[in-house]
Amino acid sequence: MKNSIFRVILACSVFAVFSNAALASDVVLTPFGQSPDAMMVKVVLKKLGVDARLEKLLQADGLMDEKVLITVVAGSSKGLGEAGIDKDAEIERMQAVTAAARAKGMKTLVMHIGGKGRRGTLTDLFIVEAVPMADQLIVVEGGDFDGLFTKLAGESGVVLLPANSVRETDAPLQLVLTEWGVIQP
Amino acid sequence: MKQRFSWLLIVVGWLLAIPVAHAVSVAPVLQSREGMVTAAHPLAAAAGAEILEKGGNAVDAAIAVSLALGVVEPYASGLGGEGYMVVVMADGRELAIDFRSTAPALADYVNLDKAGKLSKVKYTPKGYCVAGVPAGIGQALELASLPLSVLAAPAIRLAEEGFEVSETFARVNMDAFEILTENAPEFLDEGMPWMAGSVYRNPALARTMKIIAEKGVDAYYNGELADNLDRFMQENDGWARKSDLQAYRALTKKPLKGSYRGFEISVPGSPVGGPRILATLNILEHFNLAIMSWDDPLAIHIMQEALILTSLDQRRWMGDPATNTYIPEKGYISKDYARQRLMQIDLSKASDPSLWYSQRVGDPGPYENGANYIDVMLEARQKPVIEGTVEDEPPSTTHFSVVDKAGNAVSWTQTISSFFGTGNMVDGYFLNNELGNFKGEPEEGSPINLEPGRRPRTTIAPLVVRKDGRVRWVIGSPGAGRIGSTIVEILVNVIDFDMSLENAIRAPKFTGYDAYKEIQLEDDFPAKTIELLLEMGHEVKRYQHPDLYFGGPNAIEVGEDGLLTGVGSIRRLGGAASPQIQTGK
Repeated sequence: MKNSIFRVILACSVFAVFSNAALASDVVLTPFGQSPDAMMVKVVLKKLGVDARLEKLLQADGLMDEKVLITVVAGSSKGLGEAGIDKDAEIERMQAVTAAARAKGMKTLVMHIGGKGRRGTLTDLFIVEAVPMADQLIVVEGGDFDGLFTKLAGESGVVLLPANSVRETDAPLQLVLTEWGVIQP
Repeated sequence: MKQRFSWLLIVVGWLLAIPVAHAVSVAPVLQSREGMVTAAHPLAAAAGAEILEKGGNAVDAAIAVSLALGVVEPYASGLGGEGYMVVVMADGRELAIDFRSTAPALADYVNLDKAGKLSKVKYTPKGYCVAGVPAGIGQALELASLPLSVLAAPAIRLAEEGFEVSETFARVNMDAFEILTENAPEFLDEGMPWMAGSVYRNPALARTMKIIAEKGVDAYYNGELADNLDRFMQENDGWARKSDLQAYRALTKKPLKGSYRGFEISVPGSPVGGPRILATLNILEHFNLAIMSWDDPLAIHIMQEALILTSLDQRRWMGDPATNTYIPEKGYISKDYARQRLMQIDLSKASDPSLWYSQRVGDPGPYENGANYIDVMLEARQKPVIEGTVEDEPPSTTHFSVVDKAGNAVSWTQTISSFFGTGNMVDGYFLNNELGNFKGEPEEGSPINLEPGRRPRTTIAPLVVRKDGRVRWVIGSPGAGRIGSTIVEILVNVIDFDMSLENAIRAPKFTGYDAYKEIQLEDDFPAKTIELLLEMGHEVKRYQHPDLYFGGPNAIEVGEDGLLTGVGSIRRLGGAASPQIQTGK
């Protein structure tokens, strides 16, 4: 009897663990501006059980059967240089990827996780392009110090979810990805 | 009565012998007559001031700052790094201690060819060149007055007790997140970057510094720390071996000397950026900059063109004098050579970057023995043009300055090349990746071809400026290719434009360096200044002001009346610190 109860509990636990995890192909992640911040989002997603695919130079035809596109916006001159791409080409790449994602019925989540330190002329250029493409927006504290995200989100009708730190983006990520069917409630 | 007198003597003796509590003043800009330390992190500056407070001299304080910076800025310098210092003692002694790193015996083009491109290899353990910071500290100890165990104590305390992560720390950590995830996940905060406000501790580094404090710097080159590094290298396919560490020596030399408008300037010689500072100032001396201003487009144009000319020469001719048979350093810094070079500057238009390497590289060789420029130019008419090529420059470093109340001055720049160096950590410190400062492929006649035992060339230039024998400024900066321009601009700002040191550092900076084809500048120059620069044919690339990209100078000014003004790096949230209470000595 005891053994049977233990088996049921074990089976329920295993089901709970696996039902909470997403399929590997549910989320595709790409930086918008070629900063390394997308890698950090990948780590947070992994902790949530979401094994996202990270493609630094994701192209429109590189989208598979994912449900969600996450673009992590922050400009890095070094990153753009290493990727062999300039800011105009980066904007064109993201416009094409986001349009293709929308055509496929995917949701787009835009994130800015670098706080005030990751704001500046180059990043702001990408932010202005990124926010109107979003279905949801997550911004880490400090990133909206001058209200730019609030303003753009308001104009585009996008909901802005704040987080205190990169680590604490797990809560809004869980909320959004649950709503979008990536994480099972 | 006799007994009471004895007690009184004991109490008085106790009061005189025990230093008063070690309170120090710390601020971004500070004034004092008791000694001054400026560094890229206020806690490192405070560590130096604490040593001054204990009665240490400027060299004692500098050693404490060097070790403390390795704790609070582990990404910019540390025991796994290298550097150069210029020391000017009040008794007249002057030293330039070269603790630059050296390429290990296995680092040659045959092995590099097998390993892959240098731009990738430098982010692996192979990128490490034998560190010089411990040996540099060892050489500096000869001028110190306190034991290493005392000097290391503030840094050990910081590593053990931890400190609040600064915005700069957090930002560079985020920038290097990928390489750290791969090479040093143990450094990260449970797999994530350290965020501003969190507390970072480094017990492994504390242990390493305790070993060095107890056994001396030889522990790094010959003891258990050398064994640990050797093991790490062998297990991770690196090139450095214990035998490389055992062969390493820091070199004590005389500083290279020059002058600018009556000020005497002491800099480190080749293979670092000191000679270029002198060569640039030699050219600028011929222009009456004082009647212009910091934002005058003509002044900017002249300075930028002069900086380009000297960087082209530096790239072609300067290198490690110990492993190159021909380094025409004397010619490069001669006043006569500067006269020939300034003729290259067209006051009405910018030089064409596409012609820099084919038509604007000079030849300082004929000036080595003090020749006159007229004779040299007449004789050189038929000589072929010499070409140079550009290579990548490392983006990071750190500089600190110390002046004690006796007037001893230390200007010390140290680095691990890229932020976080190779990205690998051993015994709590990061390994430098100075290998990236060599040529990726051999080039005939290049002074920076990769060669075992050679010191790579870099742009660092810690310096001391004197007037009539008295120290007036101690200056240096990180910032790779921006170091030369930032230092020259600060000197011109204080000497020609009569700015305070704080304003000279705070003023917007621009670049003049052959690796950049445009003038890169901080965005607070007047619109008309930029318009005219564009009109002259300069391309202009703007950065916000202030931007860490333009370096983080930490400098000290010694006023005519002896008042010390310390200015911490405004672009890197640095600080100045001074003793608050005298030791009673």
